[in-house]
Amino acid sequence: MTEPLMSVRNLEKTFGALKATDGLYLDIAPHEIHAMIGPNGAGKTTAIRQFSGEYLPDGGTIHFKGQNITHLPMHKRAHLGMARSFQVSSIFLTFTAEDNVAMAIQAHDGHSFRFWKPARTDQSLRNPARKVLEKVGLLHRADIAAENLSHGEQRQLELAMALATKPSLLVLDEPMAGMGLEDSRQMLTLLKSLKGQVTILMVEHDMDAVFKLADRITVLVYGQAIATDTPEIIQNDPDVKAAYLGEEKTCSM
Amino acid sequence: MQLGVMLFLMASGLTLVFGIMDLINLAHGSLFMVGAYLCATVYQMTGSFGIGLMAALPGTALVGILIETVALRKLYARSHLDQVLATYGLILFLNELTKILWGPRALFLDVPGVLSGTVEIIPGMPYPAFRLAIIIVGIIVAIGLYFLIARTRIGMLIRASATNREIVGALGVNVKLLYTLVFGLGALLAGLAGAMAGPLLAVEVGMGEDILILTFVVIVIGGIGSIRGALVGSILVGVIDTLGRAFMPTIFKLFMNPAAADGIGASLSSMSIYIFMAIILAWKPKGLLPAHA
Amino acid sequence: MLKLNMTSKNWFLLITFIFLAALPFVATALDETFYIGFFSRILIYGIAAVSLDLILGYGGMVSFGHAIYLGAGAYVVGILAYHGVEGSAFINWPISIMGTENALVSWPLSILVSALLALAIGAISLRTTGVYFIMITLAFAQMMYFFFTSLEKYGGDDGLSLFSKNRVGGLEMNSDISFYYVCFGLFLGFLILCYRLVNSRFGLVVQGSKENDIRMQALGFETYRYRLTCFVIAGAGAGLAGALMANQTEFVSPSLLHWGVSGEIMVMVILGGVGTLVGPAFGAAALLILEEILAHYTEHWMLFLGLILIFVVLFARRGLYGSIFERGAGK
Repeated sequence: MTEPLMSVRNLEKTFGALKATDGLYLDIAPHEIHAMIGPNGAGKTTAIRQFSGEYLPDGGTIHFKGQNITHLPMHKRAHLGMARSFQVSSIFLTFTAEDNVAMAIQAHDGHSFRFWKPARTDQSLRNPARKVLEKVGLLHRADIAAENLSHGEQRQLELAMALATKPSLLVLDEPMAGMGLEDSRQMLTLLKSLKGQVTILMVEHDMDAVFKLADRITVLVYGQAIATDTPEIIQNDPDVKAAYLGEEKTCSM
Repeated sequence: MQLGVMLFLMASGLTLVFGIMDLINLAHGSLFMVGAYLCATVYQMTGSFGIGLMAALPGTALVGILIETVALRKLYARSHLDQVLATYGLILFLNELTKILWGPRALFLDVPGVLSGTVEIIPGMPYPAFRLAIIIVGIIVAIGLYFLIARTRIGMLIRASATNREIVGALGVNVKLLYTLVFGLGALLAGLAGAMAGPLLAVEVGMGEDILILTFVVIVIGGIGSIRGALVGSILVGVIDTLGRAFMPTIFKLFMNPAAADGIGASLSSMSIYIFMAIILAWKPKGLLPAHA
Repeated sequence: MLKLNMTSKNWFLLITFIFLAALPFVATALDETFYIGFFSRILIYGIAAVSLDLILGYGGMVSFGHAIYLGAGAYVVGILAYHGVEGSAFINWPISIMGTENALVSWPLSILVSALLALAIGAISLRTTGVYFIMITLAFAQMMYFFFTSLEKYGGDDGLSLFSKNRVGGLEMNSDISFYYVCFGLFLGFLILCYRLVNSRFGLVVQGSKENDIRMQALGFETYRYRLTCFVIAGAGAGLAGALMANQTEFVSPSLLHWGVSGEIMVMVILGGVGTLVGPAFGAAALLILEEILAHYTEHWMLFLGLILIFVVLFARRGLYGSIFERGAGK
């Protein structure tokens, strides 16, 4: 395999008596869609938080684009090309959808110590923002306050903000969380369209989506990766079945 | 060190209320004032500090519970800004009410006769008996709080609420009652501090705010939500304050003439606590022993 | 370039502007010149309240120590004037700073000193959030209060009187009317600056940071720097208000730094409407007028002020201006 885009070695994170991440080992190849699955409490979100910099690990290393980012602050990782979406939509509720995406664009358009010119009419921010909204299918809702969007639309906006930063690695925490059937299908199509353009690491419970999208799957149990492989092999791995898929009654195989 | 004890009493109450109800209560200092006023008034009526104290404790607790049920309940769900503003309004109201009921001049409260002498713990170094009594009370309260929090059912509920409010409610506990009781306990501690402070400080309107800010310093240094933090914080602050007052003027006298040294020394000693706080914060923004990481 | 969209809000603002511009002449004509000084005070507090709204309403930073910068600005003017009258220097080492009564020298210095103070205090305080931040700003306010009380040379507890109002360059500013227009002009200038600020790229970052700081960092903003800058700008604004205040009362004392004054300014912001920028100025007017009126009826007017404040917080959260004209930057 070529040089991995992100590689995680021996990652450890402890909360009091709980070892949430216990020697995690993970490689993300460029341009792949890599899914991380596991039973509840396996430590998936904790892992994501350490990748993005929200938590700092107690041990181990994370390398991104060859650089050691283990203790790098969150905002610096964003500038290296890592974008994150949150499990619970983390958007600016009182701003419009377009405002939200424009903010993401602004983050990567030099520094923001500009005090005089009104930003909301700055076309160098608004035009690219509208383009991204169009890509995720939200352009018709550009001027609606984010708090008035439907749940599915908010998840779309969440993704749009991440995309607007032109990332090399998109880290998605349950992009389809709480979505109905129709919305999920839309999101699935959207994510499929991104394949090859941007590397994606996603945590998901929706097994249907995972098996349709992922090039490789890593199974996380008790803070450790117990298997990393293609979907077909994971489906038939007895350890995985025992630990996780055995509990799932809704996977289609 | 009696400042340390008083701060501990204030800080425990405040940190309990904050840790459990997520309520920042600027009027906590007012409860301190109420305790002092009640004690002073009853003392003037009966001539006995002891009776004054026994009246001040439940009295302040009652006032606290009254305030909680009438005004503060609505604030639990509000933002911290709202709580700050509303309790600030409460301070204005209570201070003025006190002025109306008791007049603007300070009340006179004497050290109880039996404790007005000195005690020689270390031979050759007499220590005022009243101040020693305060320290002893502080130790008793600290031990009492430890048992309450660590060993009783109510303490368990308190600890559980501090970590996860919603679940405690879902378990069927009468959360409203728990909150009121906790607030009452905080008020009681504040009243105790106020009553004991009576003979040492001037019992006047506004005495609560000065100690409130110092209480905040204690909590910031010690860490919010933990009684241990309050203990550590109040001991540290008490020590720094004593050292500051004792040594600052002396240190400055090494560098400049005595008159100027006294002046700057005195002001710097009152600032020393805040400077200490700033240093601790630069090192540990969440305090030394916060309840949640 | 100015799109004049005459909504009811704009009519209201226009009328207010005309009222304020004409006030001194109307007051003189009606022989009620007291109001010229009174409204100067309102304008000065208006600047302070607007500067607090920058960090409070738009940045979400609940600073209970904003009066520090007000007081520091006032003291710079006071101390320099004291030395100016004496003809002495403030300090002689490392550089000689002579006293002065020239506003063109001391007012920018007020702004600078307050900004530096805000930088120092903000750098430490802004590493914390939420309740810690509120407590720390309160503690620093107390500390600065003690500091200024200890300045025996400059009056200590009793304060320092100014011989007269500053002169602006070569022009005397002794008449109430000329001072009023200076305040009015500076108030307008500051308001316009703030308005541009909150709608600029910088302003949006500050607003975004208030609403969702983690999100902003995840996007790539180093929010600490932006919030600190906002804090410094607000401190500078309060410093300007302080310089004007020293001139208005011709007196500076540590009581200006008492945290109660910080509370007062906060009340002005909340009464007017958090996050509306011009609302707090109306709040300043409302509070000062309310105090005047209540004081006529009872010496215990603080009682009612406290109750009114509690009422506003519980039931009229968006303040006067906020409830009537704007959604505001919200909660």
